[in-house]
Amino acid sequence: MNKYLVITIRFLGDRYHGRTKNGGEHEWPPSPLRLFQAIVAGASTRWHDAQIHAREIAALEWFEELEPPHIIAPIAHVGKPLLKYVPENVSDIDPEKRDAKFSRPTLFVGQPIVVYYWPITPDHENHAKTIANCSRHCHTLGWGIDMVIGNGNLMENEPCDANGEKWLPRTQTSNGITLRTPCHGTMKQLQARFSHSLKRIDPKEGRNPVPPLSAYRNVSYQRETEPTPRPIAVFALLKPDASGFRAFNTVQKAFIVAGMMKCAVKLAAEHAGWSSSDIDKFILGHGEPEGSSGHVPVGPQRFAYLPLPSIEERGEGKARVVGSVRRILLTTFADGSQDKIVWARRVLSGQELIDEKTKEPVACLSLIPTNETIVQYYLRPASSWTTVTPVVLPGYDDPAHLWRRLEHVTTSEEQRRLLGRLANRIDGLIRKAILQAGYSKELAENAEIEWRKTGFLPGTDLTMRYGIPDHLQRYSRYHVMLRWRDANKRLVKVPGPVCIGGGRFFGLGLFVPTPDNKKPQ
Amino acid sequence: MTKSELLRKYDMLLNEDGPAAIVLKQWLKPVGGDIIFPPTYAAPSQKKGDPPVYNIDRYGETTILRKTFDREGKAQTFMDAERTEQGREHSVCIVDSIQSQANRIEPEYGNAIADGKLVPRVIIKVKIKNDKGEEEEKIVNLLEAGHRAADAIVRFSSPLGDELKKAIEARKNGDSMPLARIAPTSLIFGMWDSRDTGVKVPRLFNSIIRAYDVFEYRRSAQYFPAIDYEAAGVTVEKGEKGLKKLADEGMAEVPATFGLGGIEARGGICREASLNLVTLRDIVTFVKKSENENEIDKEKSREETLKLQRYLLGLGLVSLTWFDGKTLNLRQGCQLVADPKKVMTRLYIYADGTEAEAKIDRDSAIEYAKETARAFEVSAKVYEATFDSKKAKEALKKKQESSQEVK
Repeated sequence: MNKYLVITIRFLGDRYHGRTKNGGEHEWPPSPLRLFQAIVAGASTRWHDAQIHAREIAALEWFEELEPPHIIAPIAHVGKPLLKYVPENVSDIDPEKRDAKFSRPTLFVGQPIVVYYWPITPDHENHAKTIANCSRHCHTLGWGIDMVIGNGNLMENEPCDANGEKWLPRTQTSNGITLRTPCHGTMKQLQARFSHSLKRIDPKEGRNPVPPLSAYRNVSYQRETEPTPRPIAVFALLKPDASGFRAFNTVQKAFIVAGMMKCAVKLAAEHAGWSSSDIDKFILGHGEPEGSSGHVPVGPQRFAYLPLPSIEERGEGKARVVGSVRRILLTTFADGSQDKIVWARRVLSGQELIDEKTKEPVACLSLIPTNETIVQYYLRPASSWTTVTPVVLPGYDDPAHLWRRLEHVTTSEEQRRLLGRLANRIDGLIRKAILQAGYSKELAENAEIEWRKTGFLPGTDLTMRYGIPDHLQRYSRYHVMLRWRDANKRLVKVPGPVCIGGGRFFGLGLFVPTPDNKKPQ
Repeated sequence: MTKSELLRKYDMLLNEDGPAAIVLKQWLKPVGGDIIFPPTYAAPSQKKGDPPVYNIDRYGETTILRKTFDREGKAQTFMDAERTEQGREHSVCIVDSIQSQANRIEPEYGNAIADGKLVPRVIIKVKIKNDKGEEEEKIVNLLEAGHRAADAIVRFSSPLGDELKKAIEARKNGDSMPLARIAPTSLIFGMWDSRDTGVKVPRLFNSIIRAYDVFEYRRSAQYFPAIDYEAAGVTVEKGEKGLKKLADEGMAEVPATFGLGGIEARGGICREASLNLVTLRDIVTFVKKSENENEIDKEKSREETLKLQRYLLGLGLVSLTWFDGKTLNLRQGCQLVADPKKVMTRLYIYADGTEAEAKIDRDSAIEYAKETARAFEVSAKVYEATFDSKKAKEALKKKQESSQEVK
């Protein structure tokens, strides 16, 4: 049975000074490459003993080739930059001469313990034990003032993340970070660089700079609670003659725009030779055969068409107001459909949106970059989100007809009880909608939620005024404000687009980030 | 307790399965009022005229302040406000940095701690010209050299420079005894011989003083001259130029507005210090079987290593406890004493995170350190060296030549 090699680093201070890219960027958590170097630095003090040296070098060469570890680290904040002037220490010529030295530490909140762990097969346990022992000689991680206590163990179970956030290596992430990790050849290069550094100042030749370390990999990391970013394609809605934006009223026309977009994609797919079953499932979202009366859902493996209302800053205080739809975003709520989004980006520019009734083109699509300001409103990671279009609940909010019973209730206690049941039911349905949209159980269970029939943002309307597909008419809809939190009640930044509820494939239940302290009541 | 028992008193800290570190937490309070003055630093913008700053970090959940405005006689509030105030929940200010604390403790070994008998007395004589152009001799104690055994004052002195270079080379090869014989505090507080051998010696001891949940204050002042100098016949041109001339000589009113006015630490002030025993246990020495042989005498090496580690442990324990019960007079407006309402804690921390109380105080640390210094045979002789300015100039010349070659 596999075990885990677990290396624990406990900082003796409240901050960490390590940075990456030559000090230019904040680095948190400390990279696996930095840990590797710290272990080597600590262990090497005993390498005057040839036996220890041989054993540990072999183990380190095995260690450098392991897959990137999982990391559990406390939440951290970037400290303010600090400029110090330190003695330059050249000679007697100017003893008062000072060199400017910048620091910008990372401060951690909570227990200052970082845990790195790797799964280990039984045949590698000896090397793993050697590495565990080496890690107990770690004395610093970061700058020389970042003193630590290192510990290593082989454990049966995966460490839990009660005291920190778990960071996982990802193949693709847009809001994650990049950490350097060791690879084949890192140990050899470290040894070569160390030998070189001891000779970098030669009495005859002068300075002999040490070349930078190049034997490492850059690996993307993301917090476990952060959902994998969705592949997206965003299009501007232009007038048919492409002379300018074509605006659609958000309240009445947004879902119609989504419908027109669906038809345009279907047409393009037919021209591209997609099979009819793929078109039915992925583009139209129909699992049932053509002509059949019942609707069979296909799950998340399908396109979602999200009309994006403009967010306009209006008025004296530049309040953000939800405006008309001038853009549309194409995405999926499932993994593994990146290729279809890439296809859509390539072929849909120039496609027309055709009015179902008049059969006339009413707009044409033009691919736009995702870093456009309005698009970024919907994509940037944030912990607080508010609806621009209402969430259609994925179920009946009042199956027991409690609203009817409330009309006849005479005591306030009974009224409170029934309202509480209603509230719990709605709360449960919204959390179900969050799960159905592909978010983790942890996020669904711990989000702070507020809902009501009127919008939270200027420019939104009463939920009953929004145009809704026929098959969703019977479900209640609410405007929702939510604040993402993890199991430890810490705020979590989630990237967009965020769209939940029964109408999420047509842009109903679309959210935009709000300022952080707009707490749900 | 006999001398031999005293020598073995803390041997459990030198065992492989001993604690990884000793950590101290001492709460302090200011003398004479709640407001203290932390160190100031140059503005990170590096722009001339930008005021200095305190080293305060604020973080926590952001708080958005709603923007309100008056319209038609009513206060209106926007749903989404523009102003944010960061970090209402936590703030921490560095009152004395790790480097500063080390620079306060290290010179104390010169005299104040056990009459200077715990470490060798190493002084470097430097001939300097005073303001009148006359040559006079200045004495620099190694304990005061900013870069310790790697300082330029040492590197370019004779015969100390060459001896320390050999000691640092020995350290590079794993033998720390020569360095401990001349500059033991370099092993305690760390050093980096960046300009010569490149050898790095990690610090064993860290100490820092922080203030929590701080409020920053501002202060203003106005200088009033004793008399009206213009009325007394000191005439200057009209306008800003004239005013500046008077102000430069202290003959005009000068305001100093909205300057840094100290902080109030609502969450308390705490000194945290740690002694890294893992690093200490990795400090070793070797004894060869004979002068002509390379083979190591393992038994003797173990004995000498134990002597060396006990000695360094003594210095480390003294560094950890030296400020117990003392006033920390950090700078003007920043005098700190122990807070009797908050108990000081000293803990052994093990590698697996478990903790145990460490019963060590200043007196017992000094008693132990004296005995280990005696067993280590710390030299009572004053080691004198002379700064060689020619050697320094030569090194500078070579540096300039090599940087020109690179260009």
